[in-house]
Amino acid sequence: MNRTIGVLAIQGDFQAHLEVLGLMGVTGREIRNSGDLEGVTHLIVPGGESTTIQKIAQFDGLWDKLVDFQGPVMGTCMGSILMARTILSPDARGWGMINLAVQRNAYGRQINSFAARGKIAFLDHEFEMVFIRAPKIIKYGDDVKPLAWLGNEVTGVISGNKMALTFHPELSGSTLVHEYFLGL
Amino acid sequence: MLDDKNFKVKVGLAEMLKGGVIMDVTNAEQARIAEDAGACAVMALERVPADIRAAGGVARMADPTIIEDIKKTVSIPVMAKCRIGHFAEAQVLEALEVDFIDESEVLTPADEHHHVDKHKFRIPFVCGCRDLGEALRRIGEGAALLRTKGEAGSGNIVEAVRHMRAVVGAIRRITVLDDEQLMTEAKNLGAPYELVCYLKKHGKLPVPNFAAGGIATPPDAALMMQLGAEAVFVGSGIFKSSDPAGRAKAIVLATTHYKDPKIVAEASKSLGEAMKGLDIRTISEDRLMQTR
Repeated sequence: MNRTIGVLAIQGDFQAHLEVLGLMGVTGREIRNSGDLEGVTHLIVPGGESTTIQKIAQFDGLWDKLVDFQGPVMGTCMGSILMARTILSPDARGWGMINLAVQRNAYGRQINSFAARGKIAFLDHEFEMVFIRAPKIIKYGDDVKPLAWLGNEVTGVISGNKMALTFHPELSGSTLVHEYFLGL
Repeated sequence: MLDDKNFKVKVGLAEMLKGGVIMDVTNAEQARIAEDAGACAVMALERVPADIRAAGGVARMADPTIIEDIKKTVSIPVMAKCRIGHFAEAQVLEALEVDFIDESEVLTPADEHHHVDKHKFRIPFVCGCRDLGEALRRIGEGAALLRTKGEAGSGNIVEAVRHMRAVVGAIRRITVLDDEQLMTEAKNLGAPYELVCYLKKHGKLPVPNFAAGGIATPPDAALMMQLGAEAVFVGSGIFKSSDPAGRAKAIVLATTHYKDPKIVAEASKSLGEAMKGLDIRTISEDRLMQTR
């Protein structure tokens, strides 16, 4: 199968995702405008500032194309916020790709950012999860399956070919989560 | 140090700011304008550098009231500046739970020989640098993010360009050195040996490197990004211009689309008057901020 992996590169840690793809021998494509999305099969939406992306992505109709993207999507931290149906604090509209409600900066400010080991459904060992001013998953629909946990807290979900993680697998120096995503 | 979990969390926030614009703001209203324009973070301070330069006297950390007002107003990260070496100001900023501390030459230095030991803090630090030696010393002290010093409050990009070229050029040089040369290079740079070895192996710094000090127009931002900056700080350039909201939006757009001159051109149209700016050669040696 011919894959083209796009990484939304408007703002955020897109470089970290491109580096993980690089470790797998995959060259990702930086997505900054709607033309860049042409032919992309898999889309990664990185961490960053969702309020910033909401503004810049309106520029040439990219936002609407992202909302309509049909292929597999992986959102990390901010990416999970944009993919959600409901965004809290401050309230905003997401892309509604997943029947999910997330609360922004739910752990607090940077002083409350942390890294800890959690569990991922498709791995038989623990995985280091980095949380940076991270959101929390407040609610998800019946069609959504939990995929990752920190203790009892759900930190990642999947619905069809859309996966949303509140942590940053791209900052852990591991390719395992990205490998799983490219298999979707 | 680089593999330490806490350091990773600090550098993590710097990673999140890439491709964005961090704007100096002096009150909640300006912070709102910055956020609405698409800033990825704001820097809370009492006066923008151009006004600090004009006012003279001792420039210190901002009043906590200003910082708290700004924190309440925006949901993007809030940074604040402490004086070089003033670890008690840094402790106060940590107690206020700002998201990033800028140990900044824009304020009057508190210690002319030592910087803050940034490893002791849970909040990440950004520091300015003019060359690679300075960059690596700051990382050695625990900085999670670097920026060029440029010449703050000048509205003149020439110094930021000089500093970015110096850092990027010196990194490139190290990648072609033999292993036998690395210790001497570390000695000549006045930099930690381990970090010089890291550069040789990876060809890039272990923390992000942004541009600051003189950015006033959308092409200024695009220039710095093409020279290797991963994001830009804009200080006086926005709120000393005739249309801060319009200029802020334009610089944000030019930073994202720095590879696309058509978009930078579009963003540059009808912005009104940029800040006036200073010829660096007219600033006397003792009034330069970058040498602090």
